[in-house]
Amino acid sequence: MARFRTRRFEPTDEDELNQRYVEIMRMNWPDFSRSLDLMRWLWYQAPGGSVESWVIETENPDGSWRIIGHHGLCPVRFTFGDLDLLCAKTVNTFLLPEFRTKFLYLRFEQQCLAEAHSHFDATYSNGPGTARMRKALGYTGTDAWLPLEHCSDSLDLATKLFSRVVHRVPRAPFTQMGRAWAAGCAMSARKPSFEWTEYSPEEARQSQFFSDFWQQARTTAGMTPRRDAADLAWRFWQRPGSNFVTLVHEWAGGARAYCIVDVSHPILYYIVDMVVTPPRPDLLDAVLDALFLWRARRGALSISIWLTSEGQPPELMEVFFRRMKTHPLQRFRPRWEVPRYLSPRGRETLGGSMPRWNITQMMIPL
Amino acid sequence: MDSLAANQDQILVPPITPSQIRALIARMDSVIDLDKLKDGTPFADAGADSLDFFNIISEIQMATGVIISDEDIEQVNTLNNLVAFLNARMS
Repeated sequence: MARFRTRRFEPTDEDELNQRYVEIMRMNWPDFSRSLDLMRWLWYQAPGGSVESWVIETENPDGSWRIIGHHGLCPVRFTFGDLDLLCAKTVNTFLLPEFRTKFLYLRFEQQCLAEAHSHFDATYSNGPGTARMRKALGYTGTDAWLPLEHCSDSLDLATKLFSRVVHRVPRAPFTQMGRAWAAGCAMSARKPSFEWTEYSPEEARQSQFFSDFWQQARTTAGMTPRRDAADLAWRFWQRPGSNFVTLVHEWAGGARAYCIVDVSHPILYYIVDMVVTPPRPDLLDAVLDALFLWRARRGALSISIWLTSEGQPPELMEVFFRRMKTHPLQRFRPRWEVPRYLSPRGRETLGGSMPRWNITQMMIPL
Repeated sequence: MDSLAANQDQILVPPITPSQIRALIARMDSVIDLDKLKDGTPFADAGADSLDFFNIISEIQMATGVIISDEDIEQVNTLNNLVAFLNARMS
């Protein structure tokens, strides 16, 4: 009979936990890797505080113990208008497959949540396929992730298919053809009303633009992660091993926008964060024009963003739907819901109701 | 959680039978295929997922007062095994 024990994570677990997490991620993504540096960055450097973390262990025949599962809650600073909130995202929640009928993971997670929920206003999960299970723990929400992509204004589907060919066959001639195709897309793209100012991570971190951006944007941004320079530095700019470009623009009347784009892949770009303030459809339209041209000029065939289905005002969603495409088989794909749990503390802070959440998904697993 | 609340007044007394457990599962919001769930069939083979395991164990604990620890989970993987375990603990 297997013996189990659960306990709080300790720094001496770092190496083993990271190794186990990489193993489990490779079951679905064979190329997945995560350095110990990145794990430490995520665990200890967030402006909201260190990750609350618990491990499940089983006893080996020689009496030693090994990690077979984990639950983590990563503090993320949120704002909702004038309110400052501390939420937590579930991170690295797993149990090795061979123990899934031998250990009650949900009971373990329930105990972790009971231990930590007074520290947070809300907790949420971005992992796929967990909504049904987490409802048993009090998580709610009908919001789902919505992936959107733009390839070309005139030949979107053909460009999309070609981008996947280049992605699957990452050889120089294909990449060069992809860049040439992207240059063609740039010529036919709508002419934008402005050009982005492009920042390296270090420039963005020190820029005047972000020193007061969030004070302006938070009033209309809804329930969303805070974007002070410290938060953005942790999430993006100083993240070990990352390759992000930050694009900013300020209109004459004081409206502002920024996008942070993951440019790790030469052909497929991902918008990992984007804020337009005030959130007006005409501004978003202009932002997307400038973004699509910028992307094509750099030789990328596609740019994607993951939004929550209810997080944006309907007039902005209309722009996203008009300018970007969902996956052709989206309606046949399982819904990827975003379960949320409002703690008693959060219930008090927010007056008992869960507002819509405005979040974007980073397509880089934590 | 709804199913737990709905069955809080459901008290099981020994000897517990597989059909009582089956009736309890039938009232749950589960993905278990009851037609496939024979008395000796592992719950997982009848389609039970982590939530179903959690709900079954939670409801059984509530209905019987027997605590099923993490070490015991492997032993209660079928209706027969679960019933034998509960009756042994409650006798």
